[in-house]
Order: sequence, then C-alpha cells, then structure tokens
Amino acid sequence: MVEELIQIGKERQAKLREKRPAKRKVRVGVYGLTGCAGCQLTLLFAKDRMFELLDLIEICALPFIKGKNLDDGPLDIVLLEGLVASEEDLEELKKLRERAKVLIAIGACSCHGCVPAMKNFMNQPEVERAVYAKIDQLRKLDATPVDKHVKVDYYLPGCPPDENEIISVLKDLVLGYEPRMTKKPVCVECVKMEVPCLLEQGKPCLGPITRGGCNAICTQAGHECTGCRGPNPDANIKAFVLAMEKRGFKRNDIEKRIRTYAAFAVDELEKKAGMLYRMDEM
Amino acid sequence: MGFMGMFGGDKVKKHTKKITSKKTMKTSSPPRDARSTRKYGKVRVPPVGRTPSRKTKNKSIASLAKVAAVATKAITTKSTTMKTVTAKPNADISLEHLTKIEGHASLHLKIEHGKIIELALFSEEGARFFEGLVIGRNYDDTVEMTSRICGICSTAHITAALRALEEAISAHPSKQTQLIREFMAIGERIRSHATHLYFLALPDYLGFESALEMAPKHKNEVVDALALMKLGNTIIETFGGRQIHPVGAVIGGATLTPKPEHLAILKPMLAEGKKQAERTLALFAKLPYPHFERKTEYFCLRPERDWPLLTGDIVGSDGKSFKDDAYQTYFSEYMTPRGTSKFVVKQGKSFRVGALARINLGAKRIPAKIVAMLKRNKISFPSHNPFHTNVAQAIELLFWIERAEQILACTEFTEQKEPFKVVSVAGRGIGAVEAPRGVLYHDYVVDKDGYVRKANIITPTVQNLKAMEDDIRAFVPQLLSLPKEKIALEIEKLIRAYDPCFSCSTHFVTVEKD
Repeated sequence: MVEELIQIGKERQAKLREKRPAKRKVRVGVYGLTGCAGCQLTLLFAKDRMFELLDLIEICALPFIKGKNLDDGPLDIVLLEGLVASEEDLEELKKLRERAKVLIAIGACSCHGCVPAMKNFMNQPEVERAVYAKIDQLRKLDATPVDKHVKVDYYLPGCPPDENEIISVLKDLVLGYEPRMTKKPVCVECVKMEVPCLLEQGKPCLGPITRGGCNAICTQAGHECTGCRGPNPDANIKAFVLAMEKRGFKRNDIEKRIRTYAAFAVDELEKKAGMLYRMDEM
Repeated sequence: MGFMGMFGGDKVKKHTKKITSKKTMKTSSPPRDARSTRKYGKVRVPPVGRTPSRKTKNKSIASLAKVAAVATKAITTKSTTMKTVTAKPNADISLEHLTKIEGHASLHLKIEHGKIIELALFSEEGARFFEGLVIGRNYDDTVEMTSRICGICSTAHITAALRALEEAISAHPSKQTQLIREFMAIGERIRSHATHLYFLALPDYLGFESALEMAPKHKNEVVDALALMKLGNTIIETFGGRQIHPVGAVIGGATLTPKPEHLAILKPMLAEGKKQAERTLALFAKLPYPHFERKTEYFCLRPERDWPLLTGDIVGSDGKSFKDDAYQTYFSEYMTPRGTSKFVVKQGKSFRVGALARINLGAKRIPAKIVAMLKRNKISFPSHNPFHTNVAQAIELLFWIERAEQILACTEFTEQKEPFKVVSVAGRGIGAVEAPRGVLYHDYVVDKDGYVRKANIITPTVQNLKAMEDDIRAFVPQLLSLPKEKIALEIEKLIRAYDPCFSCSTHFVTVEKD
C-alpha cells in the first residue's frame, strides 16, 4: 500500500515539474570594492553548496576568478564586498546600484566599514600620516560603508560572513521568499551550542551586544567575540561598557574594540539611545 | 573580449581605418584621471596608426568590439600571411582591472617602433591605512586587525604579527602552540596554492576564461582543486577555529586545542590529498610555459632543517643570510605617482620572493623522484623562468601535505592552560614569515602599557612588483610578432604567475618625503 502511495506521489511530483514553465536563470554578479577578498573567498569555498544553486542562478560576473565578465546590463542580484575608499570605488558602486535589482552587502566592510572605517572616529590626519607622508597624491575618500552612498537591500555582515547565511539568503531570494535573518545576539547562539560563557571566564567578550547568525564560531574556538557582525539593533552599548568596566576592563580598550568593525553603526546606536544612557548614569 | 586593432596586415588596416573614420574617438587624458568606469579584464587597444587614445566612450567601444571581432576573424584566417609583420610595431596596451588576481590592479604599456616607452603596473585598491589604525591599540586587537589586511593570507598576517609582537613584549609560547600555528600556515599554503593554481592560473593555459567554464570538460581537475581547497580549509579550521581570519592563535598561546574527532577526519583527507597533489604536480609540469628567463636575486626564509614556513633568517641567492631585524638595511621602498602601491628594491634592483624563490634556494632538497619527473618535462630548479612559479607551487603543495601527514602521525595534542596574561614590556619586535606569496614582514613598537605606537608592514606583493615590471619589460620584445590580444594574454599570464595580491600591496604606500 505504502509503495503504491509513494508511486502516486512521485508521479504527481513529476507532473508538477513538467508544468513549471522554464524561467530564465537569476543573473548574479559578485563584485569587490576596496577590501581583502575574504568574502569572495568564502563564496568560493562554499562552492560545493553553490553548485546546488547553479541550476537556478547564473554567475554573470565574478572578476576574482572569471576572465570574461558582464560589464553592462541589468543583474538580478549583486553581491558586493568591500567599502568605498576611493573615487573609483564610488563610481563602481553607483553603476552597480543602477544595474542591480537587489544589492546585497556582504561582509563587515560593505555593511559597516570594518577596520578601515574606524579612521573616521580617530584623528584622521594622524592615522594617514603614519602611512603616507604626502596624502594629496591619493584620490581617496573617507572609508565608508556602502549604505552611506546608495540604498542597500540586504546586509550579510561578518568578517567573513557566514557561508550558511549567504546560501540561505540566496536560496530564499531565488525561490521568492523574504530572506530570513537572525536578529538575536551571539549569546543566544553560544548558549545553543553549549559553549561555556567566556565573560564568566574573564574575557572581554562582545557577545551580548553583537548580532548573531555566525553560530558562535569564535567562542566555540575559545576566543571571545570581538563583534565582527556589528551591534545588534537593540544593543545597549553604554550599559555594556559600564558593565565591562565593573569587571575590571579598561574603558578605552572596550570602547575601541566595540568600534573596530562597525564604527558607524555603533555611533548611530549611541546617538539614538542617548536619552536611555543618560538615565543609566543617573 | 573587446579588442580592436592589430599589428600590420593590410586587410586589417583597412578594417580598423574604416572603424576610425566612422566613429571619431575622443582622445583625452589617461584612464585613471579620466575616471573611467571599471571594465574587468578589458584589454584596450586603440587602432593602428592613431595617436593613443585611452578613453573611448562606452558606446564606441561596444560597436568597435563588433567590428574588431570581424577583424580578428580576418586575421585568424589569414594567419599564414601574418608573418610579414611590420618590423617596428607600435602598440598601446592597457590592461584595465586585471581579472583572476586578488584585488584591483592595472597595467599600462606603450610600445613605439618595437620599443617599450612606457610601462606602469599599479594597484587600484583604495587606501586603508592599517598601519595607522593599529596605533593606540593593544596587542590582542592588533593581531586581529592586521589579519583583515588579506582574506587569502590572513594566517600569514596573524603569525607574522604574533612573531613580531611576542618578540616586542618578550612572550614565549609553548612548543605545542608553535606547532598549532605551523599547521595553520600549512593549511593556508595548501589552500592558497590550490586556489591560485586551479582557479587563477590553469584556465589561461587550457584556453578557458574561468574554472567555471572549464568544469564540464575538465571535471577531474576541478574536483581535485575543490578537494585540495577543502583540505586546506579543514586544516585551518581544525587548528584556528575559522577558515578565513582564524581566531585560535593569540599572543602567548592558543585558545583552541585541536579535537581528536577533527584530527581523525583530517588524516584520511591528507592521504587523499597527497594523491591529488601528485596529480596536480604532474599536470602543472606538463603545461606549455613560455620560454622566457630573467636572472635575478631571490630571497626567502631559511630554517635549520625545514622548508621555509614561519621561522628562520632571511637568505638571498648569494647564500648570505641576515636576521629579520635588518630588513630595512637591505631593502628600500619607493613610490610611483600612479596607484596606491609601493615598490621595494634591493640597492635599486628588483628581486623575487615567493614559491619560486623558496624552491630555487632549496633546490637541493627536492626529492630525486620529482627532479627526474620534472627533467622529463624539461624543467629544472633553480629556474629563472617566472612562469615556473606554478610548478614550484605544485611542488610545495605536495611537500606540505606530506609534511602535515608526518607531523600529525607522531604528535598528540594535549589540553593546555597557558598563561594568557602576558606581562607587557616596552620594545620593538620584527617578525618575518613566509606567506604563500613570499616573505612578509611585520614591525611594531609597543609601549610599556602594551599599546602599539608604531607599525610597519611589508607584504610579498610589493616586493615582487618591481620584478614583475622588469619581467614584463624583458618579456615583451619576444612577443611583438603576436597579435595584440595575444600579447595582452601572455602578459596577464606572467602577472598571474606571481600570484599577486593587490589588497595586501596597498596599505603600505609611503610617499617619499620631499
């Protein structure tokens, strides 16, 4: 009986497949602005899982490993790595925004500005002079994340981003669902993975204020979270800093560490929650 | 590939002249200044007999490309008569935004009457100021931040920063910690070489635009490539906790002890990897490399008994060695007006670092079996052919997989609680390690509170840049009888052979003071 049912089910599935009209493949482009190429490598390393998707998507541009790339014309999805640090980057970005139906910022650089964007919150000339004696020669812009210049549809933060998250978001988009992304801090995942709390072991872990989605990969390796995925939208940063100070960490160190990967996002959060903080201090 | 124009050949001349008379091309300043939009891997070649026009409107490029395709056809059918190439060819080749390399870089090459009058290779990455950003940060943060310089060789940056900072604050990690770092570096070497060999270099030699296009016809090779990359990744993940920007290695120790169940997975992978690496070497020994040699100096690390990885003094072609602290007395840096990358020279002359340097300087250690196999393919080390970097990488791939297997068979990792609290003292530390692309220097000054006060980083690619330019200069004359598209491809192959990483090369730009 069961076998019969299975047979009927299989036939029905086959019929459904026949009826589905042959749609064109989703055109995907992968580009990099100024960055370290680590995010593109993550994509490359996820290739055995990308192959599952290759029936549905067509990689039209990936200059990192392709010689021939589609330079003009519309793309359905653009995965963009890297931050804007020069005028060329900005032009490239604007062009890509025009071409892309959906622009996905992948990695800490394009989502939050990563390490280079921290410069905006330091003494800029001092930082620049440490590397360049004469700065005028460069056609540089302030290192800024992508969304300071154009609209970004989805963010996949992380340094590097989680390969499972990239694949799941791509799959959701290709199949017509709204991508599902976690909005809970790293601590939630850490508990799920049964990792002993590093804060309790006396390490300056940023898990409570950092957006999850990474499966607590660093804490599983015994290293405290350093916040590469940026602050969780509901993070109370000032309270966290105060709590860390009570635990004996230097305020300066913690504040710098929080800003390492997502200086702009942290700044905005602090401004938004300014009132709350003042109440904390009272 | 948008390519227009050819050397000589009457028929072609007619074609290209027609094009130029139809579409008047605007000539203006060079592309960088003209703010051209990025065209990945586009070869821009203006028609013969015209003044070099570097900026063409997109529309005219597209329409020109169509006609150029016809012109190419005419050339290929007339290829037998092509031998009567003009004796003094002119060419103006711009390889804008080279593809299949790490980062953004461009090459401008101008040939007049068969002589190179302008040659510039430059990085087009935006500046990121890493050396400035780490100032005022504690050493833990510094290690993590400098790892972000490069995604492909993040472990190299981590190990170099650790070596330098631990020297500065006089921290001495245990033997097991050093072994863990060594494994991370081995994993990265395997991954980086496999990625470069199969994904960036091989498609050129087999006549494909990418490994994706290559996959249906050369399935075995692509499967090997993926397996080797996975092997490298698994090693890094087992010992460092993550594939890219691993976190396990910290100042004074390691946060992660490799778990027995992960090591058990690794062992059969290594055994399989050895066979894959053997196949890789056999494949890369047989590829038709261009006949080109240029003698120059080589530098690499030389540990006492081992192949170069994380320890040892720096040794040159003359056999003389020096401590990593003395790097600034041997090498000097300069800057060109274009691009964001600095060049490194030794007494004004270029030198090579990387896989070729390591194999050349350790040629006596290559096993006889491999030497014999290479000899059958007319390759012998030391070799002065930069294209043989690919073979050198394949040898290293095999060697390090064997080595990892050996170490793993006779080592047991024990859970260790190392003192992570490091007593910091003020000081300067310099660390040199072998990244997959060559010697990488990290140099820090740390104050008594453990904050970085000064940082200097020299990556392998900036050391190789000058050698790449010199190679192109020496290589181009023997290409002049080829069509321009072919010249461009050969030059791209040459640049790719060095496995350059332009993300890395960028942050170290120092403009000479007036």
